Amino acid sequence: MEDLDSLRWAAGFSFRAYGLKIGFRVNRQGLDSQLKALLPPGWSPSEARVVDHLYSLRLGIPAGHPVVGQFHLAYSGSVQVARSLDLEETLESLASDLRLLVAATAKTGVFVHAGVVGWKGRAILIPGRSWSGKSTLTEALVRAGATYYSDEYAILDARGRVHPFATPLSIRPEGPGRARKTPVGEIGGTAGRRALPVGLVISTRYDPQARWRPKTLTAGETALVLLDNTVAARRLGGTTFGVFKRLTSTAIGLRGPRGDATITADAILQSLERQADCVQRTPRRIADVPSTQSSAASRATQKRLHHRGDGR
Amino acid sequence: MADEVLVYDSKRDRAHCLNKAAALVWRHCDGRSSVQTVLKALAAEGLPAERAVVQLAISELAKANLVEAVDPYEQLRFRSRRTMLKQLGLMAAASVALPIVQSIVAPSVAEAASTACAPPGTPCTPAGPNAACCSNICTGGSLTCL
Repeated sequence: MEDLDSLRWAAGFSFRAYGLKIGFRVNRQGLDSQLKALLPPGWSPSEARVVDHLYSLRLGIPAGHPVVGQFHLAYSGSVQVARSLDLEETLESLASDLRLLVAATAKTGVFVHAGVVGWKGRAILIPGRSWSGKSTLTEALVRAGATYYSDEYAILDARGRVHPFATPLSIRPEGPGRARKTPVGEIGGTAGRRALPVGLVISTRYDPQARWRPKTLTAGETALVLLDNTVAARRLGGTTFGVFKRLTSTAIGLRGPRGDATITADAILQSLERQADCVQRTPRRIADVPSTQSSAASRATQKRLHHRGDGR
Repeated sequence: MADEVLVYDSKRDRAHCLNKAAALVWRHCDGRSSVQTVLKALAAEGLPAERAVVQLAISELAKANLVEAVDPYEQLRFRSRRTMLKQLGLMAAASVALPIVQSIVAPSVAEAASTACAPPGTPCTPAGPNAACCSNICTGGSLTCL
């Protein structure tokens, strides 16, 4: 860190996010707007001169310049998080590290690695590790009319409600290649702005052979699914259980492999609608609804979407 | 939770979900309660009140490091869940009333974070060299990352 401190820095700023004070410094002026675009949703400017964590960005010398040393370098504290000739790639690595730092050390909110959408006043959480297909399912839900909240983190408050963290969707190509950051407007969706109570927690994994016929989880099992994807699970430990308990007072957990994302998305939205109807009519039978409804919905949409490719 | 108990073991970073029967037995593992007391408590809750059920609960709790066995000989006599079901003559549907302890290892930050490439077993296309896989190889009949 001292080595970095001894270098010349041309500009810097600090901001607050989720109870953290974070600083940025860069060796070139005029990058403020580009850097601020990397900040996590919900940030606010700060005048703090002392921060909890400091990021440093050293932009390389433009290609063609006679001096060697064209790599762009990004540091999180004293740890190098990016070294690339491609500025966009460097900034994306920096942004990704920043989001993870916030998720792991946030003083307010529990960050669960999950896709999140809103539907008729309730949130659908799809917790899962990377490459489990949650981003694809989130995208399919948005295309089906749900409001976009996040394809990376569900931020839960003490009341068990979920807050928006609407960064651009990370849409991976069918074949090899880097994921493309896609603003939700590009796929015809809108981003949610207010906190929602959770209606469904969906634990699933893409399996091309599978059909969405989920098993209903108990509240305790649902809490384990959430903890299994909580970024700061080891730091927060059992303190998350109070949040999960409140969350499961309004939500149902479902688990099972899924096939085509579009078919599954339709089934999920229908099951949440039926769930809402059941809450109004017969609250005690709520747990029986999702699996049967979603199977029926899946059958209904199977023909219509038969030729839509692998749908992951 | 209403009928369940969640326990976080901060020493081992493991979380456990005890169903109603397991939670009831666990609450009685205080070094003072007799098996008879536990059986009465199980019966009062409408749960199968058999000595084998208590044994199964303690076996599950011991596996999860939530209790310490006072008598090692007793622990050796614990049977598998399937054996216990046969012994109790219970149908599979009734087995939900038996003690169950579900456990997970709490993920580290790195485990819960996003990864840039797909881990082994992730469905992929096309077959062959594939940069989306961490191994760079997409293979097998069902096309997964190596």
